[in-house]
Order: sequence, then C-alpha cells, then structure tokens
Amino acid sequence: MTRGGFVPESRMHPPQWMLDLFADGALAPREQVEVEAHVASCPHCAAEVDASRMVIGALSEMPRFEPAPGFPDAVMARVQIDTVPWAVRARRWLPQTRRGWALVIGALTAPLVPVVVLLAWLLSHPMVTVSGLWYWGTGHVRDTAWNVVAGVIAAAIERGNVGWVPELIAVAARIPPVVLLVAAGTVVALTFASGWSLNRLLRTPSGGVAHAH
Amino acid sequence: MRSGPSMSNVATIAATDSELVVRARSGSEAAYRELLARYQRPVFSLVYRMVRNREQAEDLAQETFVKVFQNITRYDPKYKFSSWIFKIANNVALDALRRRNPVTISLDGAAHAETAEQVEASRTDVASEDANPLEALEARQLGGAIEQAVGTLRPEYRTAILLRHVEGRPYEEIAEIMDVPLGTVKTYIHRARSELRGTLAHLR
Ligand SMILES: [Zn+2]
Repeated sequence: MTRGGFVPESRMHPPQWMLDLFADGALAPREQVEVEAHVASCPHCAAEVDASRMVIGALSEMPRFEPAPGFPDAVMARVQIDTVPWAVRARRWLPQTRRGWALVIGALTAPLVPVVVLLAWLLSHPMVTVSGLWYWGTGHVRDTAWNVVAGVIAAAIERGNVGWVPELIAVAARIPPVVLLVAAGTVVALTFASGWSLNRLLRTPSGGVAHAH
Repeated sequence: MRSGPSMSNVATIAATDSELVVRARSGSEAAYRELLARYQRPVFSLVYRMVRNREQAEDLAQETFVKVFQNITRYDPKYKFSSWIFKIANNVALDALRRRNPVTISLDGAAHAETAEQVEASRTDVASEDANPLEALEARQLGGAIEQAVGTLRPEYRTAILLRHVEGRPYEEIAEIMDVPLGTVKTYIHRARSELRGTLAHLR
C-alpha cells in the first residue's frame, strides 16, 4: 500500500486505515513495528487500535453455519462421477482375448502383405535383382521425399514465412530413405489401427458413467 | 460406498485438498465426500451471510459444489483449492444478489446503511419470530448485532470481511478469490470494519 504519509519519527498520527490494518496484523513487518512504537506512546492512536480490535473480536466470534443434514447426499445426487479410473479405461482399449490380439496384429501387418507380394513377384523375374530393386526403390523414395520438401518450401516462400526453411532442409537432407519408407509404413498401419479402435469403441456400450447416491 | 473406517478412509481424511482432487478426478466418491465434509460449512456460511436467506443459501451452496465437482478436471493445482471453491461460491452468491435486486446491488454497491434505522430498514430477509420455523431460525441466526451490521455492508465488503474473519483467510488469498489487487482488498476490509464500527455504535 502506498498511501503513506506516516513518518514514525515525527509526532504525526498514522492514518486511521493504517491503525486498523495494524490491529489486524496486516501491515508490512517494518510498518507493523513502527506503528506499534507510536501506539505505545499515543493514547489517541491506542484508542483507535482498541476500537478496531473490538470490531475484529466481534467478527471473529461469528460462527460457521451448518447446512441441512442431507446436504452432502443432495450434492452427490446432482453430480455425475466417472467412477472408472483412468488406467482401467485405458486397459479397455486393449484387446481382451487372444483372438482380439491376433486381429490387432493382423490389422497392423495387413498393409505389408501387398508390398511383400509385389516384391516377391518382381524378384521372380530373372532380370530383377535385389540390389537393382533396392537402387530403383530408394531412388524413387528419395525423389518423392525431395518433391515433398520442395513443395513445402515453395508453399512457405509463397506465404512469406521462410525463417524455418534452412533448418528444415538441413533436417530433411539427413533422413535416410529407409527411415522415410518405415515412417510411411507406420502411418498406414496407424490408420488401420485407429479405424479398428473406433469401430470397436462404437460397438462397446458406455459403462463408464455412473450416478452416485 | 461408506462402510466402517478402513485404511483408505483414514488415508482420505489425512489427505491434502490437492490429493483429494487427484483422487476425485480418478472417480473416488470418498474423495468427493471428504471435500464436501471439509467445505460444506465454510461455503454454506459464506453464501448464507451473502444472501441472508437459508433456503436460497442451501440451493446456492449446492450449486457451488456441483459446479466445482463437474469442473474438477479444469481445476488448476497452482491455486489453492480453497481459493477456487470460495471464488465459485462468491460468484454464485453475487449472481443471486444481482438477480434479486439488480438496481441496489451493483458492483459499486450503492446500498449500505449507516444508522440503526437504515439497518432496520435493510433487514428485509431476516424474518420475525412469528413467521415459519425456517424464518424464525434465520432471525435467530442472523439477528445478532454483528450479523445485522455485516448484513448492511455492500457485497464486496461483506465477502472480504467474511473471508478474513470467519474463514481466517490471508489478505493475499482474499485478493485471489475476489480477483482484485491486494491493495483493494485492504481498502475493502478497512472500510468494512470502519462502517461496522459506526453501525455497531448505533445499534448498541
Ligand atoms: Zn497517535
């Protein structure tokens, strides 16, 4: 509080608000000490402090009231409590049976099947070798990756926000094509998995919300 | 849900407010009930002295707890739980006062009595003994000189003074609850006590 005008060394009385806050112990420690020293030698201010203390005493004796006995039950009846802990809810999303797990693993690996079949078919040709296929495949992935990076950069330049571009180029240049291939596979697998989860969620009746009584 | 005192009940009673909130969030009814046990009297007392009508105060205190519990996932643990619940209780009470008397009870709080006659005139909600039993109870509970005097304070002074002297909250927490600067709280409380001095002198 900066409404001061009270100089302890002088004969001036502290303002009434200061005496009142002093009576409540609400001044800063230094002010508290200063006012205490003044009050000890000034009957006028001592009377002011006593009057404040009387009001504070009366206020502090005000009791707390008790609500009606049925109050807690009345509140709980109006509140919906999700009584299922987070961990239990998380577990519900996981498959419950061996068949369920098989389904999940199947769903996750299914996108790889056409890739494997395609590779097998390609390698069955006498002209196609593993190293040749690898060279061709990685070349394609690299080209695609660069096209994406170039597209992003072009878009960024168009929008005028290019501060982060050099950083992105530095990062992109360091990504091996194999990582990009794995990342693409993961995205496909996650798409399948989330589709499966959503389907399962929609079929499960919601049992998580209960009325408390 | 409530059986004899088990280890978990003992742990609930010993838990801090924040711990209870964490348990309540994970669906523990015991945690909700312990928070109710801790705060039903403080919340009801504050709201009752704000609206000065027991029946309405019961409804508003219920409303406070329902709001708190339904939004418990939004509670920010960097604030004290008590500050949060008192803030909601005070807002609920102020809304009710504004609905009841939109002209005299504004944020500026124009209505406050200083003389004994004004105090008497302002006692619209404190019924006489010949009314129904609930109103008689109100008259007994809020009929004392200090209760009457507090009832004449403008709402923001009343909130500050009740939090300070009935709930024993520090000035800093009252500032947080009322969403005003610390200096404003000091002014509210000092002016409220100053008005009370005058009113009590007239009533005695
Ligand atoms: Zn003096």
